[in-house]
Amino acid sequence: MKPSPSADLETLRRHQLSAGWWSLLVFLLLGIALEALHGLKVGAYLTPSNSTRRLLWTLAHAHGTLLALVQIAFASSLPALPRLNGDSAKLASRLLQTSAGLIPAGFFLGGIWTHGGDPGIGIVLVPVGALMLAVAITLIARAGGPAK
Amino acid sequence: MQSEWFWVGLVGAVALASVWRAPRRALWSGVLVASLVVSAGGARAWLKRRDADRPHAAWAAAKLPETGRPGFATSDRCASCHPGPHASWHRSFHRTMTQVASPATSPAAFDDVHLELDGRAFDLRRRGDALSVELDVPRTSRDGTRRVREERRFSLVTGSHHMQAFWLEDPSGNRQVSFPFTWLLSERRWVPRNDVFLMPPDAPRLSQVWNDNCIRCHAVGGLPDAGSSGHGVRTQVAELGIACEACHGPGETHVAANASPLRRYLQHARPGGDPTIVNPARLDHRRSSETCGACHGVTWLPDTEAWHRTGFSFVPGGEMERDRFLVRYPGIKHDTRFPAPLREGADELLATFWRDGDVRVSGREFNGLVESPCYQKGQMSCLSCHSMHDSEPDDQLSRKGTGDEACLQCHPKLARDLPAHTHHAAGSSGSRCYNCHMPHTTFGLLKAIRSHRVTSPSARSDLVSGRPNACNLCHLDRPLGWTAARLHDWFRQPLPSAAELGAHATTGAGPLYALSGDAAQRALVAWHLGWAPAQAASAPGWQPPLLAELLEDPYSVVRHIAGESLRAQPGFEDLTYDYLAQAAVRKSRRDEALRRWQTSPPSVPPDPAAVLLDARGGLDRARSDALRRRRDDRPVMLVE
Repeated sequence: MKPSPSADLETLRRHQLSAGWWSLLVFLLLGIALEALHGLKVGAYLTPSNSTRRLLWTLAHAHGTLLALVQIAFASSLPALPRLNGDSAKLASRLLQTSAGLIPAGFFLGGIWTHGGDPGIGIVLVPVGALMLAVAITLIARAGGPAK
Repeated sequence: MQSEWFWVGLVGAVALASVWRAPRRALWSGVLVASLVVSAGGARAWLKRRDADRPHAAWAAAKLPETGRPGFATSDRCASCHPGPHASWHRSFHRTMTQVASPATSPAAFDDVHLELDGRAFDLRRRGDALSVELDVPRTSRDGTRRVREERRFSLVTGSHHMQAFWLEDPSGNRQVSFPFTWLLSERRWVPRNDVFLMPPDAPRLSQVWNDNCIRCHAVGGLPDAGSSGHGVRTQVAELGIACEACHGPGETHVAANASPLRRYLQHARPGGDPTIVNPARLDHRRSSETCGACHGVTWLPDTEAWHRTGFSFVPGGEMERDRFLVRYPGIKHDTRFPAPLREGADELLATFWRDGDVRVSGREFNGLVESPCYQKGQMSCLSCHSMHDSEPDDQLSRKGTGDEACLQCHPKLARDLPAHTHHAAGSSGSRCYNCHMPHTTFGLLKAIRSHRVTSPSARSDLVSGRPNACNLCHLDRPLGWTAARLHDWFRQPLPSAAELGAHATTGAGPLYALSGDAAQRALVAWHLGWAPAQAASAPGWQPPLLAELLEDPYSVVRHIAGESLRAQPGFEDLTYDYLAQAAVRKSRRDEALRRWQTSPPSVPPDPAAVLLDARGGLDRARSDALRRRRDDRPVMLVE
């Protein structure tokens, strides 16, 4: 028997919630790791010549954490978004999850190999992720209006 | 500024409009009113601060060298792409070579300080960030010239490491004239400018114009005469201090080219560096060293007028002698690029050079480098030992440049058995490459500094040039004859005859140079008498009477060094001495030093006669006086 649309949405919501909380845990741990680098005065992170790395990893932590919260918020608000039907909800969810991985990953990889003030080539993941995030949020925003 | 206010206002209005529609209107109204009050307060404070800055901005625009020149990008713009190199440069003393004078750039005392020099009074003041001095200035009227008191503002400050020289605004445009006192950072005191350089006591007071001299090297892209402003001198620089473009060349093209991320990433992937900018580390050793040598060399400008109008045409990576010639002694005598009067009067350069052509004054290291076989026959450059971006600010030696590896990178065979080459114990100061091949025979900044001419110790060279050899700068108690015998045994160097050696046959190099040498030799030996490796290598106990004698030297800087070295001797650490005190006071301190030495337990070195002591350790005053009467009083002037 084919599951009902509401059951699909409930599964999606659970997956999204789970992904959001796990993601939050990962970026919480990254934050702790960055704090440790500060605490231990690690030169590869703190010296002026590594300021690009410090900026990018800080951005990775901040974006990862924020996007984890956005995922949780999305999952929590799904019942209040009646215009987000099955397919568009799945698309929004996948785009949101992918961008929540791509954006911090791009910042993080860009900070591993730096070229002076330029990030490493991993930074190209960030605009790709940002584009996906923009589409996802557009889908969600459009679904927030009154039910037709 | 207006567009900034427009956008801030627009965004603020939109935000307020959205808030106004929200519930709990009363609460939000309160927030709105509070925000407006806070914003108004902030705006008022900002306007007040802006008004306070206006007089300073107007003064700076009129009186400081104009900054920013076409083709140059300035260091601020380098930072975004090169944060590491920018940060290392920012820590350096190159950056702070010229700064706008303010309490933030100088720790010198300005609060109600009264100074006097040659009967003239100087009253220093600080008002906020403005530092000024009230001084006598000549004023010409129909009745003749008379001196009047006038307040002048300090404009620029040079240096931040050992001492700070100050420059005063001048009525003529943005001309900067020297203030006749220098602040010694370690001693926290003002001293006359003549008393920080090795200068004869009767030399006229130094008076310099920043726009004609210091601008050459203490700023980037200096242009002394940028055209008439109607208010006198109009000088421009790309940037004050020795910044990125001093070594890398004008960077505007580089910055414009690299605004494109695509180009930048292609550059990152491409080996060989970016052709739009100069990297001295990628140049051949001659061109690379010339980048430093343009400032760290004794040079002569063939066309000073042209330089005033257009600035230097040399840029890093180019040929240094394009618009200035390196002065080499005695080579200048036959160098037809120099005018005949300079060539014929070349021996006057012996105030700056030793007779063997090594430069005597610090800050001119390129002159030493070009005379070195390692440069002439090898690939040695400044960057063989120095690093501008991976070093400590003091001396800026690279990691390998701090030790023997600097030499062993090109002479690896010696590393296998260093003591066999040095004839000194491994790890001892006598086994350090620098100590034998780059001894401290240049002078500046009130101390001896390593020669940058890589040489080997030679007794004969010492006799001919007067440049003390490395062996005797540690073994100060030993005669040159003793050194010659060892160099003969170890390296088959020819032995000078007894006639050639003269007093050097039996008298220790330390006493001989300290009492009979010229001012530079006395200064160098005085410094070495307090140098820890020399104290360890020479027998103890004979140095204090020599240094006491130098406390009364006619050259103030020799006295300063002697005082410092005397305090480095055991039992003299607490001896107070002011090298600028009245002669009678200085004599009393000398007598006190001699008294302390005479009452301390005698210490008889292995060869007491060589250090002017008798068999019981007492001073052989007859020989000491005889040597002092032979003192070389030819004037020496080493102004770095």
